[in-house]
Amino acid sequence: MINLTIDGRQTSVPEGTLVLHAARELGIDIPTFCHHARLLPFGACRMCLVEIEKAPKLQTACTTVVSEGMVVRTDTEQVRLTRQSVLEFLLANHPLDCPVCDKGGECELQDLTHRWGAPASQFREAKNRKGKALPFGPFIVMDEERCILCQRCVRFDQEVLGEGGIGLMGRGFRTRVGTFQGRPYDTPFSGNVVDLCPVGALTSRPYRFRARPWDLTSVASTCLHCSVGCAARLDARENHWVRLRGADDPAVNQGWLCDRGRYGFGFAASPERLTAPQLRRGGKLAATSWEEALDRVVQALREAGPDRVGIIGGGRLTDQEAALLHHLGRQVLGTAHLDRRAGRQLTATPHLAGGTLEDLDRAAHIVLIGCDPEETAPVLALRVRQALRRGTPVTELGPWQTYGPGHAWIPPSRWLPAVGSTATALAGLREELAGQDQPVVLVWSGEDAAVHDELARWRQAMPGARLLIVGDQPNARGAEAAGLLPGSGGRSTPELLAAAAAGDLQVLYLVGVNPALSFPDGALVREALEKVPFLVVQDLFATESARSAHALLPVAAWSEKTGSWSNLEGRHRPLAALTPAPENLPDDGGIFRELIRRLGGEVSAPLPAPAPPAAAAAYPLSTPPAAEGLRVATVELTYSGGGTVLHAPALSPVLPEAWVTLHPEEAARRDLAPGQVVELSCGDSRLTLSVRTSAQVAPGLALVPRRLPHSPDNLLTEGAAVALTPVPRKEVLP
Amino acid sequence: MFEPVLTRGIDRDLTRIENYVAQGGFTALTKAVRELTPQQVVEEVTRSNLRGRGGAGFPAGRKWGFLPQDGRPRYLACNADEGEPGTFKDHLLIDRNPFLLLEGIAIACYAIGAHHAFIYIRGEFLTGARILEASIAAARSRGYLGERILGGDFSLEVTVHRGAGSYECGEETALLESLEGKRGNPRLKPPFPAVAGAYGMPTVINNVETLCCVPSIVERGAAWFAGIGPAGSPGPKLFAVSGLVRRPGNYELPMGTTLRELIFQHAGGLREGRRFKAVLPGGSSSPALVEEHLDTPLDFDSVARAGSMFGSGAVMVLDDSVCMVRAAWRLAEFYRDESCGKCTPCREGTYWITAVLERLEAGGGREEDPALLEHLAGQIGTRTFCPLGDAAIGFLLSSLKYFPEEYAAHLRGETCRREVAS
Amino acid sequence: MSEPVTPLVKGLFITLRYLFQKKVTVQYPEQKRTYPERFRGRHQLTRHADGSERCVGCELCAQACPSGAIRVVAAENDPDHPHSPGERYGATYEVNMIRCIFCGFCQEACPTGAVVLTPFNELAEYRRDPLTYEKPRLLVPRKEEAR
Repeated sequence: MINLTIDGRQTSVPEGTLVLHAARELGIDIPTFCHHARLLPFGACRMCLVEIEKAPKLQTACTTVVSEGMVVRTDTEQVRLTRQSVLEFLLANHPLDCPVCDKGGECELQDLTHRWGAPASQFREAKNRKGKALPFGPFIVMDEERCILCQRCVRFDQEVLGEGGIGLMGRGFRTRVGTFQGRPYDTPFSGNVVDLCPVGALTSRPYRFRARPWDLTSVASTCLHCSVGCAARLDARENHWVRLRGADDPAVNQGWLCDRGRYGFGFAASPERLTAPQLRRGGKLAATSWEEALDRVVQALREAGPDRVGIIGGGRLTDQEAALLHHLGRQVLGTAHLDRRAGRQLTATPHLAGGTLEDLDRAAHIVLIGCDPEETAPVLALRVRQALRRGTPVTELGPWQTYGPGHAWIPPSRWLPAVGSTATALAGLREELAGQDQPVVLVWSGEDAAVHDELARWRQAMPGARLLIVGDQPNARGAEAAGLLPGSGGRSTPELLAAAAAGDLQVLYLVGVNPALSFPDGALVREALEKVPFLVVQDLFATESARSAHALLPVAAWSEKTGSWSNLEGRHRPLAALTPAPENLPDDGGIFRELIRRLGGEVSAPLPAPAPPAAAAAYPLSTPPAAEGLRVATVELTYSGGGTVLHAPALSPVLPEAWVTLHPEEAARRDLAPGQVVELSCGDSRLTLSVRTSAQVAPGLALVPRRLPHSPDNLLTEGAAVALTPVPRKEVLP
Repeated sequence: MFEPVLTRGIDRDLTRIENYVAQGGFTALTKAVRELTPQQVVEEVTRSNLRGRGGAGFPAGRKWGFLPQDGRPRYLACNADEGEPGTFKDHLLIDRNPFLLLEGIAIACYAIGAHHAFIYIRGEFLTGARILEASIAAARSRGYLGERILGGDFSLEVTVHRGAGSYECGEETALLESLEGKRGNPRLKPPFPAVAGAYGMPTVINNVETLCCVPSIVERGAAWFAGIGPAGSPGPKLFAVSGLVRRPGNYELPMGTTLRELIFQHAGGLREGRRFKAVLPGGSSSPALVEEHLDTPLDFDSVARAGSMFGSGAVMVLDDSVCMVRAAWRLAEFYRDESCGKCTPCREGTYWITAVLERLEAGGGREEDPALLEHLAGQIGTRTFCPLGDAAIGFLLSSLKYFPEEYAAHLRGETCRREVAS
Repeated sequence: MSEPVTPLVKGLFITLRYLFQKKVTVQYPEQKRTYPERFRGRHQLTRHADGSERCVGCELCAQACPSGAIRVVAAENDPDHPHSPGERYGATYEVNMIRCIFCGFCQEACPTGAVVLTPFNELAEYRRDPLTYEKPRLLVPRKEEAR
């Protein structure tokens, strides 16, 4: 511990502490602009200058490390005058357009000027003019005149992202923050610079002029877009959700968010949202009353009997709702045919020691198994980037490489392009690492039964290994903990769909899932949904799976309900209601309660704990025979999916187009150039896609994005042979 | 009689290696590599009390001794940016005596255990960069650079890195950033370059002239060197005299030569009918000195005592035709444009000062302007991230101190003699 | 005896005296009083000389309003057809005249001089809803429109 005196008060802090933090611990406020807790000390704004005895000049508290016997003064006339002068300098060329600035009211420059600034400026000269309202990418607007050049955004880009997409341009008073070669700032983490900006220089396009800070009501909640569970602050104006910002949960997101989470909130106010229950009458869905709709569902469930009912879904529910659904299915209906899974993922619950996100920071080796966290768990990927930067070896197993060469700042990972044999490659890696029981962190997509079995061997081989499974539904892990997996004798999702297609199922109840888009066997799921005599779909939107529904039950969105859920670590994540649901829609739990009541069951708190599900209950996905030539592989994208992503207007500029990515050699062999449009045929299915090339895709593969509503990948069979035919350009007649 | 050390034989085309060798070139390197241990070289240079010629005057030998002994690779960066207005001494050494510099670099690298040196040369010095490239090739072919120098165990590669034209890149940490291909902004210290410099490795940064002094110290001994000029800052020195004197140019003289001798004896005094007004003894960043200071010896300590700084030894002479307000404005404009933009007081303060001076000079002065300028200068000085802020206000403050009547005249609307000054 | 009578007579005398004085009552609405120029009545949203709206939708009036009578929602100007100079304008501007106490704080808070209180004070309505004044009613018509 180091002893020092600040403003006459003795204190003792650990070695390496900054003077700023030592002072703040004593409750002595030292104003700062460029300092940020999650960025490295910088010392550029000069706002935090303090007197330190024996130092010939004022020192920046945000960069000076405490030393034994140091005497710091923050309350002298000289320090006060310096703060006043720094503010006067900053405001000299500031446009002072607070009334039209989105930051006005929550601006650090405003606040510190009120606290430390001079009553009037001595600056009488012409102001330095710079660019206003410059587009900075799909979500960001830049006002260069308001910028105080604290470089928090630039440092975030360098230190946290390692991308180099933005930087300083020009010098002296002409210095400005600009994008690399004027290209759009389109990193999937771009919105964080808005949170970091202490002034109104970087603002969000979706929030532009929507509210003033004093209009807002806020709740502390979490983002329910993926299984990371980032802490977030949700803001509403007049019961309209207008903004989502990151909150600093050191164990989870450290304040960062991805753009999908930050800007994907518009779905809640989408006009496409279902607001009334619908029943199929005479072949068409028509709005009806809740009373009638629930009666009809109850009647169908009763008539079917326990063995001819199947329930799919649950990974979008809160833990409490998942428990209610489990109760409804197992106890009240008495069926074992419950499965939260609706895609390729077998399990979201680790079957060896489960890891935490912070384990990634301590890992001696990170292994990504068929999983691209940059796309499916972006904020987790930030920790992988940091690990790569520290020199932690990262091995990627899978058809493509995420951290390849060509990344500006981050060293490439090692890539084992294990096409179709990820488990074999994983076994090879296990043997390679055997004997050195290091803290290895495995990040897995939860797909591929062979990988599941191989991982079971890691448990013996490497007791120090930790497993993180990126859930394909945000609360996949909570749903599994609540027992939403088939019990003994129960049918899993593939079996339920097969039974439905074979006419062996009476009622299929889909809860917040869209298997028509997510289930890998597109033909089977389409047939099953067509054939099942009574299909209940409970969702926010009329999804692809709802087209043949017999009852459609709208529900409250996650911003409209309170509860908790579990992220990929199994960590408790709170959800708090920001706005009431439109038309007083019930939440999922409300519907389950009502169904339980009408079916004669009881909702007694606490509900009986679910029997632990069999470890990764069987999930028989059909596997195609080994194919020759070009084979299909699919990849999950941040912005794939229908539902909430499709109906968030702010995300429309970044929604992916349908593409197929080939290794450059494969493209050259077929005489295909990037940008060319091709028809991809696989069996009887055809998709029209544009060609991309990347050396980070294994040769022999045609990589296609998953779950695009306009180009459903499940029409193709993963691993099956495909043919590519160039689509001739349409001749334009003069 | 002082005999030149740095410019010895400079009229005999020393860019040809045979001419340099013929006048005894590379004997110091040979002596160092064959007869001395690196530690002995460091000690010799420390005893000579050679102080850095780039401006700060830090003892070179002590700087070399700071490197941690931790087995990491070390680098030497030679600062050949020479961006200071008024300074053109390194330019001369590079263009006319490149092998002296290379010999100095080689000895310094031998002393500190570096196997790679970078010469960070100002982008505008295209000729100099080409001469250095050619000289490196010539020295390498004769075994003075490259693998196993002079048959010994010491190897050294020298890389010439051209800057892109920024005053700030003369600051040592900004130089390192620029060397690494980044934006030329100063770095936070600590860690100092001796601990984490170029590419994060221990690095020594020396000025061209400093390194050029090294061979003669090794060859002729520390005592000889320390005997030239005052004890506190000894050695030969290149004075770059510019401004309104009859014979501007580089003069190699011992440290401690007085301003009067340099200006009136060597540089030929002022033009016909002109009176001496002021002198900037150490480039554009040094506060001006006036007539009463003419007998100040030009060395680090004496100039500092007179209230200015010795800097790089660039002496800029102003006569009575110069308007001090206009001069202050022109210099302020330079610093406004060359501020890197990183820290607030420098970026905004230089803009503000320039705007006030420009207005004042054009006749739009306000009563409060001189006080405002003094206030602003006070809020820039010592508060900036790097020394550029102090450099920007040195001349301004001295002009306010010694020539208040010129500011007053501008406030009264009296025209200054700009037709002469411009 | 005279004790209770005297005040009564005094009172009647006062009444009698006022009977012959000039009447204070104004026969509204046939007759109308003139108000001082700076009387604070109905709000108005003004325009710049070039016809563009002054209001930038900053909501400072709404924030200053002690009775919460003002609601403003801003929006971004279409650069080709801007409502106001700059990037932002007030897309929605509502004053609830039932709540308004005509204190004039909104006018004082306005950074662009957009909202002013006019002397006009005849605000009576038979129903409540028209008493929420929306932007079209508050905004001064353009000169060409006024013609």
